[in-house]
Amino acid sequence: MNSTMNRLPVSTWNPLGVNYAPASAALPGVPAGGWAKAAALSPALPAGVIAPTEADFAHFAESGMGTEADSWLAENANLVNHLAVSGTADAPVVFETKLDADHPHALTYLTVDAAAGSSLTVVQVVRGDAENGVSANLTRIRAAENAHVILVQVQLLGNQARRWNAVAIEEATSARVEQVRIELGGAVTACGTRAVLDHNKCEYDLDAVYFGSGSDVLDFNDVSVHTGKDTLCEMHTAGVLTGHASKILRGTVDFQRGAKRGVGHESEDVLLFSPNARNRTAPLILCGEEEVEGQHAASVGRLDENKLYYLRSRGLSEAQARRLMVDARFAPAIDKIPLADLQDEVRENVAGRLNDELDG
Amino acid sequence: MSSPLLEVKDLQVVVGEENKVLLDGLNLTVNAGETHVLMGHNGAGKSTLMSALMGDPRYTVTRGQIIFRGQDITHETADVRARAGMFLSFQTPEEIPGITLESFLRTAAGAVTGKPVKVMKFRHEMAAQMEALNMDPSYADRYLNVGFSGGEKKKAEILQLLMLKPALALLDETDSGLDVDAVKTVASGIKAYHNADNALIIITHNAKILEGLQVDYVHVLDDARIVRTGDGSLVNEIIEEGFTALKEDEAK
Repeated sequence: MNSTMNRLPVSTWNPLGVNYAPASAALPGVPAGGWAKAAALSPALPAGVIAPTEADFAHFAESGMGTEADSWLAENANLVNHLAVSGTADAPVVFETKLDADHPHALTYLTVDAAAGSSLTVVQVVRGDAENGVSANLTRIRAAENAHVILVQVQLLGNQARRWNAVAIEEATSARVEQVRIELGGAVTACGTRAVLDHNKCEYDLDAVYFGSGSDVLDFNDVSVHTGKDTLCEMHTAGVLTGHASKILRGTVDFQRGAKRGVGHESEDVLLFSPNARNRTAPLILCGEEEVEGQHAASVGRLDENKLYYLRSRGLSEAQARRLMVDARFAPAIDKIPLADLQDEVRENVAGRLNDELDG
Repeated sequence: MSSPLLEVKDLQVVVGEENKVLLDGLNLTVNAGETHVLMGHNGAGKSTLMSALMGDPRYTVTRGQIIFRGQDITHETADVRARAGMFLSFQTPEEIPGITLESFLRTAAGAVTGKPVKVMKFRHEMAAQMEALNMDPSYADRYLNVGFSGGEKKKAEILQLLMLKPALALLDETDSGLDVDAVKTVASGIKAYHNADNALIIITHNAKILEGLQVDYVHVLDDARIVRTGDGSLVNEIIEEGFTALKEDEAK
């Protein structure tokens, strides 16, 4: 199913294989015995945040993974949470899930309803590993006028589990949603975010990083749709590919009619540590309005030898220098994690994966 | 008498797939406490010598030896040489987005000393050195050399020199692109670094950066080797008369 998951909004030459996610990244089949029961998520809620038992997101915009995937994720979720915020939450709401042999399936569905002028940070962390493990997530964010929502997603899975992560965002006037997406593990990682900026002066920012190794399959589809005036999106991704990992990133800034003075910047910086790793980047800027500014940039390659030499001339071993260069690329995303311990955990996780790579 | 800090013996260096010879039969001895100046026309091999001493992987040593502090480092990598006490101030320092100047320097200090760096003590010393170099303190939190002016990049190199305290400093045209005041500031930084236990090798076309330093030897490079060595007075002689006049004198 979901043969057109993570679909590029406008198809390109099909033999490139980037129009939608490969079959190897398709959503999982439901196990014969159904999904394993997952431990309920009951995060501490700061003042101004409530967790209603129901939320009306029935007619919500699709995620970057597409309507079909969204429906599947919502219907199959074994962990459902709703958040509503009014005012400024003075602490992040943290959801932590862990896969293990007894809990191999975590299919989460989260809605965030941010009232006008409110401010909230949500952190989603998934750790652990399990044979045939599944970590699937659908997050829907409704940001009302002047609301500010920060969504921090940290995925630290092992190399057996598979991961799907869909995010859908609707923003009202002058709202701002920032997403930090850190995807470090998983044999399969498929993510897609779509932000609908159909009100004036709203903004969407994405800082994403990924690490692909072994025979990992990574597939991303991030879309910012602009129809309001003076809207802004900044979508920036950095990644490392080693082994035989294969990755596709589609990044689309879609300026539709009416998006006057819209600005959209997207970039990707990929480090290839193996000649067998495969990278495909498909940046797309669609202009249905004349008075807009769209930029895309992609950098793919090995570590700059001159920079490596410079670092080594200061006493850093080759491994230290390579780690530093990767840290540097990942820093903009990791620095936005609001929890110092989690920042350290992510850095250590990256270092561990690099050590595995550098030590062969 | 103690052994030399650096001994370069019959050095031959090549570059590129065609093995173009850039240095051939070069000899140089540097003792602790000395200041050596390398001069020569563009392309004479001065920067190549600095790069070869530091272990730039673009260059290959095909003959000869580099002995540093009694250890043969001819085929060692740059990090081994740095940890042994060698430092190169780059003519064009690299920009490293994502790593702040302070973070980088602390990492480097830990690497060259092999010991954990005490953060507060390090910060205080770094702040003092930045003030001495007339560097805005905010540069400590900026990504390494990213958006720095040419002068600030050179000051950042001297800051690293002062913080890492190497036994041998190789300064490759550290004064190029600096205004008069910046040259004075950098020169005072170099003077502050230099003592009886360390040594300097400086490439320059300008005597200003040498103010306050006792230049022990001036070496003129030409045709891939050192063709003349003199005392500090040779600097002004070359600046006033040029290399061509010098070669003509030699020919006579």
